[in-house]
Amino acid sequence: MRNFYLVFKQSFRERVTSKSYLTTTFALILISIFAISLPSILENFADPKEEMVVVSNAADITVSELEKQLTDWEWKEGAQQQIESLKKEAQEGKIAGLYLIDDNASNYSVTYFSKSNDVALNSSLSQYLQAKNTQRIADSNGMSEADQQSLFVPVAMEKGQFTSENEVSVFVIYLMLMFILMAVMMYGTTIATGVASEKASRVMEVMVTKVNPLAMIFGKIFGIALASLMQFAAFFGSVALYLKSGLVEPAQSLGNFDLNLSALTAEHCVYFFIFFLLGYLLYASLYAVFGSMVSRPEELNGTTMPISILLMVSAFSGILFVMDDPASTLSKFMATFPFTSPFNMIILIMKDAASFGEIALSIGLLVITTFAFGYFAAKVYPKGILHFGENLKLRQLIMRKS
Amino acid sequence: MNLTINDVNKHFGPYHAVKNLSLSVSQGEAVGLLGRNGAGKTTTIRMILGLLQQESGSIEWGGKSFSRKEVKLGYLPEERGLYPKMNMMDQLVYFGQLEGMSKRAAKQEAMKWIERLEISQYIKKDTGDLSKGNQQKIQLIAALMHDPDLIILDEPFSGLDPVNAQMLEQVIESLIQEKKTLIFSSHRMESVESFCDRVYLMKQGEVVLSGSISDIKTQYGFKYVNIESTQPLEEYLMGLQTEFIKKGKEYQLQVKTMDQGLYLIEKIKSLVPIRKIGIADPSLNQIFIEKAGD
Repeated sequence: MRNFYLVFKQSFRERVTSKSYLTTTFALILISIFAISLPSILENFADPKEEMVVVSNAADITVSELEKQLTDWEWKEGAQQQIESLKKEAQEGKIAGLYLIDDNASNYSVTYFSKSNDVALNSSLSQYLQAKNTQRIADSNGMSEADQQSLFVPVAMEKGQFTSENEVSVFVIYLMLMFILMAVMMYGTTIATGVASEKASRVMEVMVTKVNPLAMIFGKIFGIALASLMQFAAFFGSVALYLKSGLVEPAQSLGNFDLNLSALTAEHCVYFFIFFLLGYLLYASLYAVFGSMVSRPEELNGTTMPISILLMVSAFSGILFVMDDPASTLSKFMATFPFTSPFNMIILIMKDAASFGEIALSIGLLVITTFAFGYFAAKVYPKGILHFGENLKLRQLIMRKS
Repeated sequence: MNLTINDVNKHFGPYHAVKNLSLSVSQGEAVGLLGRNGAGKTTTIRMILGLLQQESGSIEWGGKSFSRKEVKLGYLPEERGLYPKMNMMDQLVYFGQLEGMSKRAAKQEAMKWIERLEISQYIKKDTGDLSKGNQQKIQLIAALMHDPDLIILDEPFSGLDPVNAQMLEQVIESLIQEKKTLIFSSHRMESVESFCDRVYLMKQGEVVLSGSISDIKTQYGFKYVNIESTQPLEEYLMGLQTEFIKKGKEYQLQVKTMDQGLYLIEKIKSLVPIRKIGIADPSLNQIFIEKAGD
């Protein structure tokens, strides 16, 4: 246990003091803050309001009224005798448009001169004038003020929720899946690289005489896991602080994504942490074994490809199949099978589609498989790290006698 | 405690790397493990260390099956085995702690060795930035700082310049004086000859020669007559119908007995003027070349 702690501490320290770790952490934070701030930044560079000139023959349609109602444009008043010169200016693009508003007793009419057809303005102006005319007719017919007001009450329109109140939004589930996928891939690769580097530097030959392989492999895995959790905590913490600081409007930054966390319960968070940790440990053991098969870190990409494929299939099968139909047999299988369950049981739990028994079975199988693979990794790991020369294949590593 | 290896075998696929190997090392004894590259020395060492499992036979320490948990081992591998991005002191403290030392004791012991091996100026440097010789010194400290029961040095002189090699020789000398149990694998025959009480010479996985160095030389069955003359001797030596080799100015004749040697000396002296002549046992290097060569 003492040596496990020493390897754990050393792996953690080595990771968090490495340049790549510090650079990645700061880069992740800066990129996310930049991405969140982008809509606000873009707004500052938005084009200035377009200048529109209005010549109104209707007594109740004034420039000041238009400025209040149609705020996205800049309104100026023109005189009747300037119409020809204003037309010319509009034609030459000196002003964005000239709007001539007439009152024909029964309704208003608009003639406009503009090089560009501003659909938004035309629609807004038309709606405004139509409402104004309705009010005018209502007035002349002696309609009560209350009835008049009800004429303009907008129809109630609300965005409907696809999920029931106690279900976590699809966007939050996506975020969770992506978090597990990214963390396992990033830090699994770090473990494999660490093992391959130690093997290449031959320090392993000394280490295996001092430390039990089980303590060595799990010390390393847990050390890097803690470093990874710290990195994600720093990332999420910084983003949350930034959003809370009021420097940007979260709703504007997140666009139409529904980041409503109110449906997330403590139970959800505990399950998420359990599946993330067990999934990480299972895949990390595999990464450590695959790392021990190569002679140099540069050769890792090809060797760890099967793990990457397995991870992708697990995560994306969840998004493609389990998310749509969590009650299907395929979904239940994917949420129980240890290599796919870290991703898919999370979906079932968040969608309230798994019973406690199913969750317990999934966790139980995952724990057994994680320990079995951890033990297997500790057994084959010394054989791999003491093999130099040509890269080993997994079958050779398993069959090879120590 | 004695280390005893009984009738051990090891294959790598079809290749029989170690064949029926038996050897023993008594407490306080320094034993040399010799052989050409691929003779099975490193495989034997790895089996002792428990890094490889023997297929048959036994490895015992003090009469009991050898267990890494029960024996304090000091191992200096042939290849450099250090964390390149860790500084010297942190690395030594880490290795010391893994061997059960407290942080404080590891620091003190490391400092003592660092000063002895004259590398204190590099204490905060990453080991990857140090020369091969200094890296080898750090590895030596890591192997010895926890006062091991059994010390295994695999090619300790590889990559060392003469000054560092001499420093290492002094360290090994002191370990022998302290009566440490030592297994020493090297191609430097003169070092083996001066440090080791006994040697095992391996060839293609088998021990082909073993025993104390003086016994081996006696049992070897040859002596050498070395002659230096003022004029070429080839013509006279061919006339004596004896095999010889020329090494620089010196001629070397292989003889089976001391009497044969003395007879040749008298004969040669009567034929040509001689500057230097003598009879000597073969060196370990000569025996190595003879026995380990193809």
